[in-house]
Amino acid sequence: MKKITYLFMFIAFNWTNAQDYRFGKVSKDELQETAYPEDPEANAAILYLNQKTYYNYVQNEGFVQVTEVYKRIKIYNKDGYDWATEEVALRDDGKKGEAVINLKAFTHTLENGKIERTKLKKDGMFEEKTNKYWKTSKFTMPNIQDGCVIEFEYKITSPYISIRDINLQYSIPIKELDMYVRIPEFYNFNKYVNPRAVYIPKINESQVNRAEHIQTKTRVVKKVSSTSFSQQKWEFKENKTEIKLSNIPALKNENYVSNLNTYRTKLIWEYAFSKDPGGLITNYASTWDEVTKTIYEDSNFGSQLKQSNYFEKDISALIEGAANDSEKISRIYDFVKSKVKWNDYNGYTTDNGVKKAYKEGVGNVADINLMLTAMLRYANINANPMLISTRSNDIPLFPATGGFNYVVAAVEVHNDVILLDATDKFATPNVLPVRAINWQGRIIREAGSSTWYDLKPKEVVKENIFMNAKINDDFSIDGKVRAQMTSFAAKNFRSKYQNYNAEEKLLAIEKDKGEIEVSDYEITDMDVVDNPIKYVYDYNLKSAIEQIGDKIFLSPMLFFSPKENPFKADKREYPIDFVYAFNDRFTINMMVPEGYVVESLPESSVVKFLDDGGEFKYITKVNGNVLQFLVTLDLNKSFILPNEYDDFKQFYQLMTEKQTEKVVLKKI
Amino acid sequence: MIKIYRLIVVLVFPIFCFSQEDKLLNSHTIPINLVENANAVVRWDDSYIEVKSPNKMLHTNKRIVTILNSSGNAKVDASLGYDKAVSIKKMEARIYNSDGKEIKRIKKKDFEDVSAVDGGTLYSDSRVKYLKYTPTDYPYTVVFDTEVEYNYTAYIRRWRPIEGFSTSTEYSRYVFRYDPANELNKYEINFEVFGVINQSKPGEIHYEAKNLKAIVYEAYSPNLKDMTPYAMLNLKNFSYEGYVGNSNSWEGLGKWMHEQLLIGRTQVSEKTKNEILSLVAGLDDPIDKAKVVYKYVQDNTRYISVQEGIGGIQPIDALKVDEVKYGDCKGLTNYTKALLDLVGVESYYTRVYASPNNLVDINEDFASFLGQSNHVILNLPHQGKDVWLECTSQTSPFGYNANFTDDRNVFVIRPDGGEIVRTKIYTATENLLATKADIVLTEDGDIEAKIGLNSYGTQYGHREGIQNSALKNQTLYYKGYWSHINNVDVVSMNYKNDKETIKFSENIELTAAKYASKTGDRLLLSPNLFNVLSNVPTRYRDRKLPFKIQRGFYDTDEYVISIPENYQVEALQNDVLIENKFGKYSYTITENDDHSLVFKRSFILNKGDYAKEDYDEFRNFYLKVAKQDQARIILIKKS
Repeated sequence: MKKITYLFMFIAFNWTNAQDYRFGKVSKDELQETAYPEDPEANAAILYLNQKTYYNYVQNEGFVQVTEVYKRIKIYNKDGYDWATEEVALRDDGKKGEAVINLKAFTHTLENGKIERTKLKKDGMFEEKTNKYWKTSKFTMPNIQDGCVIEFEYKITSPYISIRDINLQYSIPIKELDMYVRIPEFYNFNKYVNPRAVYIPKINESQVNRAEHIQTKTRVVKKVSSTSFSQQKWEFKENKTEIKLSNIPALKNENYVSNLNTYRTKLIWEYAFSKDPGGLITNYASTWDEVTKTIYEDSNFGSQLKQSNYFEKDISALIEGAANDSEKISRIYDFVKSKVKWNDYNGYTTDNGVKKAYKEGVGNVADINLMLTAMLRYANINANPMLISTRSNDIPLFPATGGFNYVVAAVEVHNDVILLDATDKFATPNVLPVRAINWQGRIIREAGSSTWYDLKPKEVVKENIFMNAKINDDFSIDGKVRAQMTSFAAKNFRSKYQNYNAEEKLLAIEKDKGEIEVSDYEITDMDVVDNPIKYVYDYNLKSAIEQIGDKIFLSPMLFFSPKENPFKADKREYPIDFVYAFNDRFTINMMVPEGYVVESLPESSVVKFLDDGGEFKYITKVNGNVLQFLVTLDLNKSFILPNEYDDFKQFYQLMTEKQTEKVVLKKI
Repeated sequence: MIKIYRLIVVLVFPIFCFSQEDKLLNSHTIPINLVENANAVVRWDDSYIEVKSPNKMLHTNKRIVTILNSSGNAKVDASLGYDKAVSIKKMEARIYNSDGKEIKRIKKKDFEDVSAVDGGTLYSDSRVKYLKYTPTDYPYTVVFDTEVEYNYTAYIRRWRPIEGFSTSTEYSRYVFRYDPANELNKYEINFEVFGVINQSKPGEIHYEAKNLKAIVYEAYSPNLKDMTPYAMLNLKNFSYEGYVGNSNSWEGLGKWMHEQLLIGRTQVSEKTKNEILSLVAGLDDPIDKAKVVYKYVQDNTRYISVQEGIGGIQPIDALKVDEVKYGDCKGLTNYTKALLDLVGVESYYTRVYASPNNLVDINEDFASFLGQSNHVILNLPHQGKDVWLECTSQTSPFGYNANFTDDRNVFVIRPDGGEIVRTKIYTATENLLATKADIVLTEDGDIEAKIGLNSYGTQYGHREGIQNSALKNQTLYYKGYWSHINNVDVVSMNYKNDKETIKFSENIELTAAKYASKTGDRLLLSPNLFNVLSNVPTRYRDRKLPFKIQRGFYDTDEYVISIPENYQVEALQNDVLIENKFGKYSYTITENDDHSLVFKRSFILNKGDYAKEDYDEFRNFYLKVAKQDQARIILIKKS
C-alpha cells in the first residue's frame, strides 16, 4: 500500500512539474519566472526548441527537404530583446531557392494576472534579397516586455538535398531541445558534432519504415482518349537521427577567442552519396579515396590542375637556368604571387578557372594555388594540392569535401613538406596566412592517395632585439635599437608597414613608447620577403627615469617592458591559440652614469611553464660600469588548453613582474 | 611637302587636346605634389545635375580616380544607392593599369547588388550597387560613368572636392542647373583658401577646384568637412515622394513638416490613454508627468528600425507603435510626444545629427529638408530651459543626452514653425568622476582597498554600462581599468544607479599583492593608485592641422593610505599645480598625524578649438600629468 502511495505521489509530482510544450500552451510559471535558474545572468533563454528535418515526397518533383522550427523563448530583460527578432538565411540564386512558409507567432505577456497573446502580423515580417545567392527572411515580435514569452513556428522548404548545419547551442541557454532528422535511405550523409565543442550531445540513431503512395498515369487511346490514375505503394527505409537534450549551457564569449562559433555545439552534415531505388550509386564523398577521386574528377579542381598550355611558354622561360629544384620553386612561387592577385574569396574549387585567372591576374584561392601546383608539376616538382579548412570554417574530420574551403600547394621533398600559398604577397614557404593555419590539411596526391598533415608551423618564430642605453645628466636616455624578426613576425611587420610613408613609420614605431623621439629609423629587406626583417633606430627617451631623493629608478627594458599581464581571467573555457611557437630575445646594455653607483639590480631568474611549454629567463650581468640584461622568452607550446591556463597565467604573471622590476642607482 | 607637314600638325594638335582623358588614365601623369601623402588621387570628378521638372532631377557624373596603394582602395567608391525614388540610368566602370591600358570593363548588370541595410536596421527598401574589384597591381585607375534619375528635388548632392584624408584631387567640377525662378539656398565654405573657382550665375551653379593636396589625419583633428571646400545647395521649392515643400527658412520648413508629416499621427488606443492618465493622476508638475510618461515608453517599447519609402522620413503612427510596441527613433519619439500631449505636457519632434565622437551641427543658415540629420529626439521646453529626451533608449535617465546628441544645433519642429536650438552642453565640471579610496598597506607591500567612484555627466554614460555585463566581465573590467596594478583581486563590486540625479556609484573592494616594491628597508609606491593618465596624444614632428577637444571632463581623487606601523615616510612628492588654457591639474600628498597619508588629485580638461601651434603645449601638459601620476614615494622601516 505504501508503495502505491509513493508511486502515486511521484506521478502527481511529476505531472505538475511537466511543462506543456505544445504550441500556444505557455504557462503562467514560465511568464512569472524572473531568471533562468541554471544561469541567472542569461538575458533570455530558449525554453523549448523543436526542429525537424525530413523529405516530403512530391509527385513529379521527388523529395523536397522540409525543416520545421518551433521555438519558445523567454525574455527576462531588455538585453534579451534581440531574441524577439528572428532572421533566417535562405539560399536563393534567382532560379531556385529556399522559402519560409507557414509562419505563426505569438507574444505572451501577463496582464493583471492573465495571459495575453499578441499575434505577429504581416507588417512585422520582411524579406530581403541579401545578394546574388542569398535572401533573408526576418520577423520581429510585437508587444515585447520584460518577462514575456514568445513562440513561433515556421517551415523552411528547400529544393536542395544537402542539409545545413544544425546548431545545438546558442548564446543563451536552452532548457529543452527536441530535434530529429529523417533521411530516406536513398541519400547518405556523413555527420559529426563539431569536435571543438565543449558541450557534447548524445545522439540516437535508428531506422524507420516509410511508405509513399505514388500515382501512376496511364493514358488509353480508344475512341475517346482517357487517362486513368492508379496508386502504387512505395515502401522504403529512413535513417533517423534524434537528439533530446535538457539544459544546454549558453555559448559565452571569452577574450582571445577569434571566432566563438568554432566552439559551438552543432551537428554538421555532409552529403556523401545517393543511391536511387534501382541501386545506382552516385558518390559525392565518403572515403578518402572517394573524396580524392571526386575532387580530381571535379571540373573545377582536377581538370584545372591538368591544364598547362596557358602557362607552358612563360614557365619554361622562367625556370630556365635554375640551378636546382628549390630555385625553381622559388621562381614559380614569386611569379604566381606577382602575376595573380587574390579576390578575397576562399574555396578549394576554382571560380574563374585557372586560365582566366592567369589572363586577368585575379582569382580565388583555388584559381591561384591550383595554378601554382600545376606550374610546379610542370617543372617536375612533386607538388600536390592540400585541402584546408580555414579558421572561420569547421574542422574536417570525416572524409568529406564540404568541410574544406581552402587549398594550398604542398611540395613533398625528402620526407618533408613545403607549403606554399600565393594568395598573400607576404607569405613565404611554410609561412601561410593565419586564416589557413587550422588543425590539419589533407594532401591529395595525383595517384589517388591522400594523407593528413599537421598545419601547426614547425619553425620557431624569432625576434631579436639589441638595445643600448645611455643615461644623460637630465635623466633622459639616448640609445640605439637593432632588431631582427623572422617568418610570421616579419610577415606581420610587412603587412602593417606596407603603405606607410616615412612619417607614418615613425609614428608607428614611437607608439606606446612614452615620451620618445625616434630618429634614423631604417628598415632593411622590407620587400625581400624571404629574408628576415631588420631595423635599426636611435632614440631619445624622456619619461623612463624616476628620481626620488638621491636615487634614480628605471626598468632596464625601458619601453619594451610590458604594461600588464594580458591574461586576467581566473578561468578559461576555451584554448588560447598563439598560432606559432616563438622566441623573443632582448639584449640590453646600459651605462651607469658618472657620479652614480648601483644600489640594487633585478636578480637573475628563470621561470618555466609546464615541463617544456615555455621558459622565461632574465639574466643580469655587471661589467664595470656597464649593466647587461639578457631577457628571453621561449614559448614552445603555442596552443594553451583550458586546463593549462592556470599555470600559463602564473607564468605570464611572474614574467610581467620580472620585466617591470627596476634598477636603482644612487648618487655618490 | 611643307603644307602636308602643317596639316599634320594641325590635325595632331586638337587630338592631343581631345585626348585629355587618355592622359588621366595614365598613372604616371599625376603631378608629384598630389602623390605626396596620398593613397588615392581623384583625377577628375565631373558632376552635372539638372533639374528637369519640379520632381525630376538628373545627375550625370564622370569620375576618374587613381589608386596608389591598397590603403586607397576604398576611394574607388564606384557605388550607387537606389530605391523607388532613385533609379540608375547608367552605370559603367572601366579599369586601367598604370600605363593607361584598359584591363577591365564592368557593365551595370555586373555590379554587386545588395541591400543597403546597416547593422542597426531590420529592414530597408534602399539598395546599393557597387563595384567589387581586386586590384592586380598598383597604381590603377578607375573610370566610373553614371547617370542617376531622382524623382524628387528635396536633396541635391553635396560638393566636397577633398573626399577624405590621404586623398588628393587633381580636378573637380560641379555644375547644377535649375530654373532661376525657383530660388536657391547656398552654403559654401573654405572656397578661397583652396582656390575654388566659382562661376555661378542665376540658374546655374558652377564650381571648379584644381590640384588639392592630400591632407593626412592627425589625432584630435576637427572634421575634415569643416576644414576643406564644401558646398550644400537647396531649392527653396522642392518635392519629395509626392510632397511639395518650401525651405525658405527653418521656421517655414518646420511649419510645413509639422503640417505635412507629423500632424494627426498622435492618436493612441483608449487602453493606453487610460493607463497613462491614471499613472499621472495627482501630478501637477509637467516634469513629473513627463518622467512618468518617459518611463512608460522605456518600459513598454523597444527600438526596431524599418525604413520604407516616406517611412524613412515620416514617423509611423503612434497607434501602430501602441500596437506592436516597437518603432524607430521617429516612431518612438512621436509616440512619446503623443503620450505627453495626452497629459498636457508640451513637447516637440526634433531632428538631430547624432554621433558620439564628432559633434555635428545642423546648419543654422542653411535650411534643408534632407541631408543634415540622422536621428530624432524629443524637446521639452520647461521654464526657459530645454529637456532633451532620447526615446530609443530603454535605460537612459530622463533628460540625459550626453555622448550622443549633446552640444549641437538641432531642428525643433513646432506647429507654428521650426527653430534651430542648441542642445545641452555638458561642461567639464559636470562630467565629473570622483574617486575616493581607503587603502591599507602592509609591510610586504600588499594593499587592501575600498574604492568609491561616483560619475556624472558624460562620465556617467561611460561607466554605467558595467552593471549590466556578466559578473566575470565586471571583474575583468576592473582588472583592466586598473591594469597598472598587477595581481588585482576584486573582492566585491556594488553599484547604485541613481537615475534621478543621474549619478552612478561603484563601490569596489580589492586586494593586490606586492603593489609597493620593496628594496631593502624601503617600500616604494605611487600614491595615485586608481587614476593614472596613460594615453598621451601622439607626437607630430610637424603638426599640420588645428585640433579640437570635443568635450571636457573633470576627475577628482582623494585617497587615504594607512602605512604599516613600523614604517615611516622617507620621501613624499612635492605639491604640483599646472594650469593652462587646456585645463588644470593638481597633486598633493600629505602625512596625517594618525600614520596615514592623504593623496589628492584633480584634473580638468576643457573643451576647445586650438591652433596647430598649441598642439605641442597640449601634449606636454598630458606628458607632465602622466609622469606625475606615476611618481612614487618612499617609506622606510623605523630603526
